[in-house]
Amino acid sequence: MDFRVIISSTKSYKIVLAIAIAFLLMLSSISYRQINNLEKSADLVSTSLIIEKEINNLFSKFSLVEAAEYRALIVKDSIPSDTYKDYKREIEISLHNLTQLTKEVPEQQQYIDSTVQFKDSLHAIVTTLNKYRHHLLEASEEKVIEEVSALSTVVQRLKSFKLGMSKKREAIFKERMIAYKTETFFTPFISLLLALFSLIIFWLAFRKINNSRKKLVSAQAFVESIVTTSNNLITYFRPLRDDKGKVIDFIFEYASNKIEDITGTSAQDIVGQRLSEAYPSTFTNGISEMYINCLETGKSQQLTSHYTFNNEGKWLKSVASKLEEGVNVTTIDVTQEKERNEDLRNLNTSLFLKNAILNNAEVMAKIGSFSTYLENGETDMSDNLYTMLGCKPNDFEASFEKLSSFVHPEDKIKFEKSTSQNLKAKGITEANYRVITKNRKVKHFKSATLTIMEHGKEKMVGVLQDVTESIKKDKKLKKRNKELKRSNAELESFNRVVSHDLQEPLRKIQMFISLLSETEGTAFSDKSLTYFNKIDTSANRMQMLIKNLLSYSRIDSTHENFERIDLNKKLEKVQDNLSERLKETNVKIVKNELPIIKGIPFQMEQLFNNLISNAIKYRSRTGVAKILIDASKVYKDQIPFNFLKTSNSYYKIVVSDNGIGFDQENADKIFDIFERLHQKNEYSGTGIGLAICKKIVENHHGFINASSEPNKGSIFYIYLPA
Amino acid sequence: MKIYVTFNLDITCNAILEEQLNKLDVQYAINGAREIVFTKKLTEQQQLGLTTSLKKYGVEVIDNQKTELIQRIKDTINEMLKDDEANLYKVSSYLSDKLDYSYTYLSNLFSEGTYTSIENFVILKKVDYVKELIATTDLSLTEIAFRLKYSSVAHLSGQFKKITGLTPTVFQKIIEKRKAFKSNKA
Amino acid sequence: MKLNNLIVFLAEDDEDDRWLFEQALTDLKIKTELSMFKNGKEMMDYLKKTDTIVPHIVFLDLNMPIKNGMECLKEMKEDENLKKIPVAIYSTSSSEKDIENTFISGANVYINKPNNFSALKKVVEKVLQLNWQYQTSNLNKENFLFRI
Repeated sequence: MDFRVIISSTKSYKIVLAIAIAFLLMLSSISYRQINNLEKSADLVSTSLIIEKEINNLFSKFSLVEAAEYRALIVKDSIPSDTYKDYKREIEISLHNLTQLTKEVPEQQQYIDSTVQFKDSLHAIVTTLNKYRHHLLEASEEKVIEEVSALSTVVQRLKSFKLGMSKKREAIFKERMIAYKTETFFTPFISLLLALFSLIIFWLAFRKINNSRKKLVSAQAFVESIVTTSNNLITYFRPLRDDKGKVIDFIFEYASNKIEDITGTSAQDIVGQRLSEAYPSTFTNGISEMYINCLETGKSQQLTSHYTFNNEGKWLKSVASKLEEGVNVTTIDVTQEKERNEDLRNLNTSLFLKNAILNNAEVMAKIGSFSTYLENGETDMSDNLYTMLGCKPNDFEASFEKLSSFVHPEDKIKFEKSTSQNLKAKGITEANYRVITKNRKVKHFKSATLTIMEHGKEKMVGVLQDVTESIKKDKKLKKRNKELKRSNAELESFNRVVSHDLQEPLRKIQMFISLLSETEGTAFSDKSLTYFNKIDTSANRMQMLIKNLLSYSRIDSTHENFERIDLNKKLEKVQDNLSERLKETNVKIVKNELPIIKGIPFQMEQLFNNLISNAIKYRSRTGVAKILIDASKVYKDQIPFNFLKTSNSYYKIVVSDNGIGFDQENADKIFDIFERLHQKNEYSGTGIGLAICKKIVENHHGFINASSEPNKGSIFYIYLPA
Repeated sequence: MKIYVTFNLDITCNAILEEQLNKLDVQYAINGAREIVFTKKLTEQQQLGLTTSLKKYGVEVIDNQKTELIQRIKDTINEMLKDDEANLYKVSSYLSDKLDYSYTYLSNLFSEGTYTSIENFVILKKVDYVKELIATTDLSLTEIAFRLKYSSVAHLSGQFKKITGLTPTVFQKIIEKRKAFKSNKA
Repeated sequence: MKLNNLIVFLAEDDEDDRWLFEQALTDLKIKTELSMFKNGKEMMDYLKKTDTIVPHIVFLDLNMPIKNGMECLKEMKEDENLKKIPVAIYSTSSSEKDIENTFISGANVYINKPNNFSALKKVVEKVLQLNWQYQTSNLNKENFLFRI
């Protein structure tokens, strides 16, 4: 349905109508004039006829006067003066009439003037004759005849006038008759034309109106179908006004069926109701105000407001426009849209938040990211990537070429190679290269790039990390490591010298001592034997020192040998090894369940061996010596000691004794190499046992500590990663 | 004219031995310790023939009875170790039962001829068997201990360490590394 | 019944050690013929001579001038004629690394030089016994591995 056709046809229809009216008016005026002319022509014709009658009348009077005179002459009778008087009056009247009728014809006027002249002379003659007759004047016969003949001449002359006048009138009449005939011919023709034209106009107008009516009907049906099928609710309200003309309520004049879907009330039910009664909420949610506003301003208004129908909340968007005296309202249920909008807004908010988090994370992790479409080079770069390049976000238009231009010239080939590799590769390709930032700083970047398909387009996404610091640290660490390795190597070679080169002569000393005692032992004097034994003891002691020193230095920190160790079994083995010594010294060992750990077996053995040996060595000589070994699992936060904790939980192994103990202030010293707190003679030992323990525990990423009180005993705490 | 020669007696003797042994058309090997090992047992005729032909060169076949007995002791010990039931016996009674000699006689004879005692030999043999299993099979120590009637893995490990000076684990590691080392060189 | 003498070689740079080793051997019941060399090169040169009687066992000190024990060991194991000779390392070092390396290179016995004479005698005797068993009994020479 083309509404434009309807509208434009109405317009043209108006124009055509106006033209038709103008035309009709014109034709009517022509017709009017024509009729007028006809009427005038007819008048003129009739005037001519009247004039003729008057002329005939006048001149007949003259003839009558002549005839009377002649008769009087013949009969010699006198003419009654009354008759003549009648003639005279009638002639005067006719003359007057003629003068009036021929006013517009000068020739006739001349004739009339002449006629008047001769009439006067006639009058004079008649008067003279009358005088004769009445003998008022003595006249002879001759004289009378003379007078009568004069009268006849005048009448003759008058008759010529009459002829002239008649001729003239005839000419005018003829003229007028032609004019009249013409008029009578044109007038019906124009009238017919007028009628025909009117008919055409009428027909056209009818057709036009009929068409428009038809169109209007279909348009109305169309509108009706729109109204009924549309999702929009269409309502029309008539305002209710109070005495002062103020709008106080609205009445439903019309509502489309859609209203039932939205509010649950059918259109039939709602029409005629007051808005305030049907939906009171409209007086609080701004709707009624909007309608009033719309009425007052005449401008259409729009408002989205919330309603509750049958306990169901709905968002309705209403557009009100003034239509005649009421308000036409189109209402759309935008609940879903609104909810979707709400969802979208929520999503947007969370997206915004996540984006902010991501941005922060990028800053924290010194990470930047980019993505670029391979097809058109459309590129997106994260803010932090700009920052990493020494720029402000969006300092330049993001493009892969621009990004590549930051790459250090020496790394350009590497960068291009990795890029082309990425295009071929399926997964993530990693690369390291340097860049030169805007402020001419060289930075090390590590990149991970991946090419993905997005909407059928190839897109390269990449994450770049500024690893400058870690590379610097790495370099430092490597340097330190190298130094450490060197000093370690030095220490190792020193140990080797000590162990081998010192051991060689010592072993030989011992060897010859043994040979000597085997072969000559019985031959020694008592004194010699004492000296000899001292030599032997010293040599053995020295050997033990060297051995311990060696085993201390051999506790290497390589962890390839870590295996599962049941500490219970290790402890049993140590107890076995020390069984004789334990028996000798009458030391009792009480042990609880020990854990299974990961470590180097022989070192664990050595650890227990050294601790127990130590406890035996420094046992109390006054009572029964006891060693208590216990273990438990603790979390790293529960450990009161400060050391590098690599594990979350630790096994706490406690070895306590009731021995002689030591001063707590020496608690750290006892783990130092060669540090012995007791007199050499009093307690034999090399002072290396606990140092070895410390080294072993540290080698296992653990911690050892001791607490003691003199003569009460000591407690050794060992923490090993669980 | 005069010429002087030096000769290596070992080579001379070996040449003579090989010459005579080849005549027999049997498989054999000459050990550095002047011991000849045959893969199959010789017939009496072959044995007699060999003894007489070697005698011409002053090579004497040593009294083979005692050697043979020592060999039988060794074989019996081998059997015993491989035989599940035999393991239940004491070595001494098993040997005297099988060989019909008093254990003291066997023990003395064995020590005389091998520089070592039967007991040491049994342990050595057993450890060798353990070594064999460790080196060539995927068996765990527990399985090996069970198979060789050790009361526990600890017992096995203990004896192994006592005899070889190495723990089974270290031994296994060394064997593996040695194999890798050899194949690397090849 | 008579056992042949065992032919034993010893490469050792220390004169006293050579003397002690010799003393220990003579005190044993086992009859041996001992040849001693002042360094690895001397021994290797001798071994490579065609007329040399192949020894039943070789004792090698690790730390020697000119050619050390490890070099001798490797050289022997690469020589078709010498690779079968059992090798006993005789060293002061008790470093696990030394022990492992010599075993991997093909040594059969690793001896830590004892610090008294009777221990030395026992050790040497044990090695000779073991060697004899491995030579004469049906033992797997591949697994001839002992640390004493």
